[in-house]
Amino acid sequence: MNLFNRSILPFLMAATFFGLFLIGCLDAPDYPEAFTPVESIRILVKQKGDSFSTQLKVHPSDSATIKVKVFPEKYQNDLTFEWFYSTDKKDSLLERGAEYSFYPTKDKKNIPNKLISTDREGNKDSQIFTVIINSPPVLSDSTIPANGDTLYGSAKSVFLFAWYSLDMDLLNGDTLFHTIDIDGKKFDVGTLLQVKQSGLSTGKHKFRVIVHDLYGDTDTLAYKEFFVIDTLEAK
Amino acid sequence: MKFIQTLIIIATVWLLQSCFDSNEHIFDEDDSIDITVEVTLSHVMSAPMPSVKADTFNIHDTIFLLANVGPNKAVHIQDYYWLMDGEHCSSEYNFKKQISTPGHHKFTFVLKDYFNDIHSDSLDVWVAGNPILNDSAYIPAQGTQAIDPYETIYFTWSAKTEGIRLAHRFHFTLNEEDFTYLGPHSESKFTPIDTILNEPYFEYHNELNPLKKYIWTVQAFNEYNLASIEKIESFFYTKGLTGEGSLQAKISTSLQTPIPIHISLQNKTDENKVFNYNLSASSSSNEISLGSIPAGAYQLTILSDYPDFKSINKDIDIRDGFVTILDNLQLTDSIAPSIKSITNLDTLDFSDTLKFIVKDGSGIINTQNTTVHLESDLITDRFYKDSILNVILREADKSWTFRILTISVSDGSNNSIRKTFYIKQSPLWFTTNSDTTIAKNGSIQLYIKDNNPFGFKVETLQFYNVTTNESIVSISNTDKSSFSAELEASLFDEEQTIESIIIYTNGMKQSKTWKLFVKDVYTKGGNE
Repeated sequence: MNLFNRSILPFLMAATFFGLFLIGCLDAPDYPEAFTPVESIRILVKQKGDSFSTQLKVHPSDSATIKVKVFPEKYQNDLTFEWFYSTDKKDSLLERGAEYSFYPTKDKKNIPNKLISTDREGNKDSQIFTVIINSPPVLSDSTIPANGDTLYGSAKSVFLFAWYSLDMDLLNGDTLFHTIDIDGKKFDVGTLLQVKQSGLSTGKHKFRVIVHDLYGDTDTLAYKEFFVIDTLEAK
Repeated sequence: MKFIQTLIIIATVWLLQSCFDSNEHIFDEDDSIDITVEVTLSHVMSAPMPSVKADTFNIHDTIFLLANVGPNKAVHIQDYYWLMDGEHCSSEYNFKKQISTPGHHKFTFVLKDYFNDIHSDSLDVWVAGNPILNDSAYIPAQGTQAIDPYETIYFTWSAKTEGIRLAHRFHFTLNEEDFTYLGPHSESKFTPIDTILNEPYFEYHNELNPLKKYIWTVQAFNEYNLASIEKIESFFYTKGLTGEGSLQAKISTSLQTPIPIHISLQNKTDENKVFNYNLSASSSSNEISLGSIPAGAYQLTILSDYPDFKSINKDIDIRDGFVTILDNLQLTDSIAPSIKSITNLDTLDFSDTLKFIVKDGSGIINTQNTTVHLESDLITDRFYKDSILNVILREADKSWTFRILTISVSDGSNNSIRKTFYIKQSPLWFTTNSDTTIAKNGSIQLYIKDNNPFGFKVETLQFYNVTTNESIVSISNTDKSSFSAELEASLFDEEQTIESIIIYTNGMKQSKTWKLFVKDVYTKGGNE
């Protein structure tokens, strides 16, 4: 008897094999899990009246807020954050959350310098950073020449320009750099607090001083006017 | 047939078996090929080098960028390329590049594999050029006057290297101007400064000297020892005691050798106030500083010992605290030397040694300042001594016709003169009188006798008074070859030059000049 010719057995066998084949194909592996999609975790800080900046610098006269920003932003809520004050000996937890407010003081124990970010799988990312507490420099309004002064000399004789600047951080290694602007021409004079310059002909002139510290904080005096009268002699 | 059917069934079952073996299709990290991309940079292409991901280069350097693909470059790849600052810059694995833009540049190597996966790696390059020194804004400004030499002086300037934050250092020098002549009591105790500074300013606390000129220079260098093209070269003047100023001048002379100079400053309101200075100056050594002078208005006079140099007279002001600068005082000689023969004539008799008086009012002329040509022949046998130029002629220089002697002389200021003299024929084909002295009450026998060896026929015989420009005796169209006549002394002056001339029918001419002196007392006479 020829079963292939006289029964449905061949059909059943073919259907069975095809079914098993499909089952085998359904057993295909899952797509490999994608890499962590978070591109970056940035730390920003701001003080009253300012916007958040990646320049981690605050002045000591006002409270500050530090926050973490995740890119892309849609993953911000998938992570948890812990702010620490870290020393060689131990880490002190200051706050859990994306933001933390503090008052900049000399006692830096309340100022975070370490951030640990944790994802849902428990993976951790640690960042060490420093928040700089910088007092901006201040220029004294008292200068030589004073506003409205009259100087006697000539275009070739030298005149003294003197000023005074102050910065609370000078004892902590900060340095003040000055630029003197005489009639719109700027001279970088470094840390000097006085120079003697010539080239001022008879008439009205103006000058101002600009100071900046190592961290980019600046102070600028308003222009001060003075008058030169040519005496044809050095005074 | 059954065997074939059974075989088909077994083959089909064996084929489908693979579908059931699902473990074979599960992603196994161990079985995968990791494609890795790593880029490095170097100063050289071939030498062993550490893997560097960031570095700073000189703007003139060639940078080699190398891409390593793992496990090897034979993996299935669709594309690969380099980006510089986001822009395509190469399609090679390794390439070299010279970057002309200073600053930071990011290079990224991108590899797209068979499965469209992107693999990349980046490196950072900083390119530094020469520092730029601001040579237009500095303190003190150029030419500043009246800086107190006993107070602190502040020098400031600025420099930067474009596109990159680098430290700079500065080569700073401060020197006192070295003058040819310093006024009385002007010895300098200043020690020149030549130093390297790490900051763009310098405070000088030591004492400078009063009423001096100081020159200071600055050049910037960055961390890569690249020097600024710009260089500050500036100067300033210090002031003296109250009521005093000074004069600094540059006296241009046209002489290389020093000449004596006398400077006088006469106060215009107080004739008793006169300051005199004696010095010497040349074209290369001519800057003077006269030290402290009471402020006031003065008449400046500059003279030289040499008369060819024109004196300088100028009104100047000496201002309290200032140094008066006179940069353009010209003490020049525009007068050429003079040349004349010792007979003061331009037509000369042939002689073994011809003597010429050569004088110049700007110093000494020497033999090297003279050139003598007999026609086109340079005469090297000459010497100059005591204002006399002696020119030695050879026997071979004699000629039956006139010869042209040219003398050129230049002085130390390159003023030159060129003068031509005529040398008469020699030997002469006739005899005649030579220099003769006769008494006032006497007479002279003038004679001329041709004896030319060529048989030329005489056309004219003549005696000519060169001094009075008059003919004494002239016989033309004569067939005689000689002539003589006795003339009384009263026909002549005390001294005259007489020219004996003979002209032949073929146009040739010979002559000789001689002097006739007429004295009160007869001393000596002679006929040739």
